[in-house]
Amino acid sequence: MRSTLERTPALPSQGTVEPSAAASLVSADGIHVARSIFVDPAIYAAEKHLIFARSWLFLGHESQLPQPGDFLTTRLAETPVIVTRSRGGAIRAHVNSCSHRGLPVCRADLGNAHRFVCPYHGWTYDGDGALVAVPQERKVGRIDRSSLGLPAVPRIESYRGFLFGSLDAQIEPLADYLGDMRFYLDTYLDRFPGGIELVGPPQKWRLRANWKLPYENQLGDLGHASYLHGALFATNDAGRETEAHGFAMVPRAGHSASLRLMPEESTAEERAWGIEGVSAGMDPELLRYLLAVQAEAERRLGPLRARIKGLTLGIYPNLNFVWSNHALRVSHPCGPDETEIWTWLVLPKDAPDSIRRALRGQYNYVLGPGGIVEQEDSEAWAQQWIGSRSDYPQDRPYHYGLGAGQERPHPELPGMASGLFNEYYARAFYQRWRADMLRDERA
Amino acid sequence: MNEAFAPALDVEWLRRVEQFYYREARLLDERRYLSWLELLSPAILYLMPGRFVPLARASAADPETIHAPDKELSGYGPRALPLREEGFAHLAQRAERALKPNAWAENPPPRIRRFVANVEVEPLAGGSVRAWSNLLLFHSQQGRADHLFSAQRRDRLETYGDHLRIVEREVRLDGDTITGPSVALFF
Repeated sequence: MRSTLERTPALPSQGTVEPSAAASLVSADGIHVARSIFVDPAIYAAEKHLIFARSWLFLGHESQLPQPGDFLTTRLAETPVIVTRSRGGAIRAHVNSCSHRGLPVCRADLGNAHRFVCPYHGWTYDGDGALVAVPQERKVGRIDRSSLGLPAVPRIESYRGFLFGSLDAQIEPLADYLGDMRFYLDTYLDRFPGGIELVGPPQKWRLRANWKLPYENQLGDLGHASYLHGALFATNDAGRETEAHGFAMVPRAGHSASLRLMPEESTAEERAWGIEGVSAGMDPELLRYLLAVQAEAERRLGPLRARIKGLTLGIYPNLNFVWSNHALRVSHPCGPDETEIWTWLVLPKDAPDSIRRALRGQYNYVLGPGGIVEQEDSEAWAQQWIGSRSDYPQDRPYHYGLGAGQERPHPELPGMASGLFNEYYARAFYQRWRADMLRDERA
Repeated sequence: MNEAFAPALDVEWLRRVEQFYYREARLLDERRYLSWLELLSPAILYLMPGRFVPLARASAADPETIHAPDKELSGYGPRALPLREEGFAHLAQRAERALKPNAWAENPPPRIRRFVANVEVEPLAGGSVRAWSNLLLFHSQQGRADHLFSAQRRDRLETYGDHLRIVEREVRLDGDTITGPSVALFF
């Protein structure tokens, strides 16, 4: 099944993009973005060490690893990683590659294990990544196992249960990296006294598209729905509501929160999370539940935050949360022109079973690999690849200038506000990308 | 169907179900989605589990279960994340959408050919039948690499008037990571 989308071999080489070239790829104001950054292998190789190796990347959620010995396998960009809860209860992350010959030592997506055994020669590691057995020592004598553990992911931090890892030991603390993005995450998470959990295993699908485009779309491209999804959304209530109240907040370049700030006189029905997926009260039990959550939210969040009806949150460089459809998504880069999207359902931990099923339907019928809406997004992202790889129009960079200069600090919410169709959320993302690509590799 | 040997063949049922599947595949291949809806019970359950790689656990009591495909499936419980779980209204909306000129994933439309094979039937009481089949779906679309989906289908069909119609369909895709453009297709 893989034959039709050839896998791009991982390139061990460092990027060869000169700083002067990187500066010319994205204009300083973020309006002009070179087509080549969506297809060029050299730019991608530079992204891997200047962006992915120096950012906080999503590893998982603590709810996925409740017991000692629980593990999951994921990736930091193209580096395969095992995330474990060790016997002592700490969360660890290690590169899933044997120190002897490099095979993955864990082949399952998830499970519970205290030992990871390389199939090739039986080298065995524990949940802390330590090399605990080398069968050949019986014949050739002891080796220095202490220096041969699985390479550790040097930094792991959690924000309210969301686990992030970084390959950069010197990276700023996660809380600083998120900055005021925490306000928007909290505005979602504080709704649920019992907390949330990730439901998986994740859906995984691979697109012929650069990783930046799905991420950028979900930062705040509120304007595409009426067009790309016109067959479904041309005139529905959610579309009108977004036109009336929707905008994007950029608390720090690269992150974004797109949302609707409902008017003070709006009703609970108009404000409630998830309610837009309920067609005209067709599910009275779900409606009652969502209204109860909103009533609780009004108490817990205060008057301003209770009026925030989120759409999407984006955490640089490749994590998106689709608030309106309960989905957390990572756009794993797999080469300059392939992206593997992993998606989990996000549900309140204490939601009753029937509600869990109803909320799930708001995700998997709409988005994800089987989504009636998402099939058009993935089509658009794949079609852009065609436009990006053509040689002739390379002197016609993509235009992200809609609404340039109209963004303003918001009187009540943290960050810069950009109204519907203002592409500031994307300009800020590409400015962050540009600054990262220009940073001194030796720093 | 857990036994290694199939029960005595009910040729008439087998022929009926095979012909039903061939006609169904032709309707879909010819993009006659509204006509296809007529083959569905209004109470249809259309399911597609998620699939993952579990940690292998050997069972001394039943060694054959170590790699039982059921262990790789998400299921449909309240703590699961299946790929699809739809009723008639969902499928009807997909069918109607696919015929609109601004449904951009279908315009230009993919060229799809469905190959149905390995049909097994188990007649049930009351004129219904359980049926297993393998599906190979070839997908070709402008600007894309051609793609094959391989799946097992587990159906329950019922007699309705002189015809059969689908009451339940589970589509178990074989791919690991989904590499096709979408699984928002009619399998």
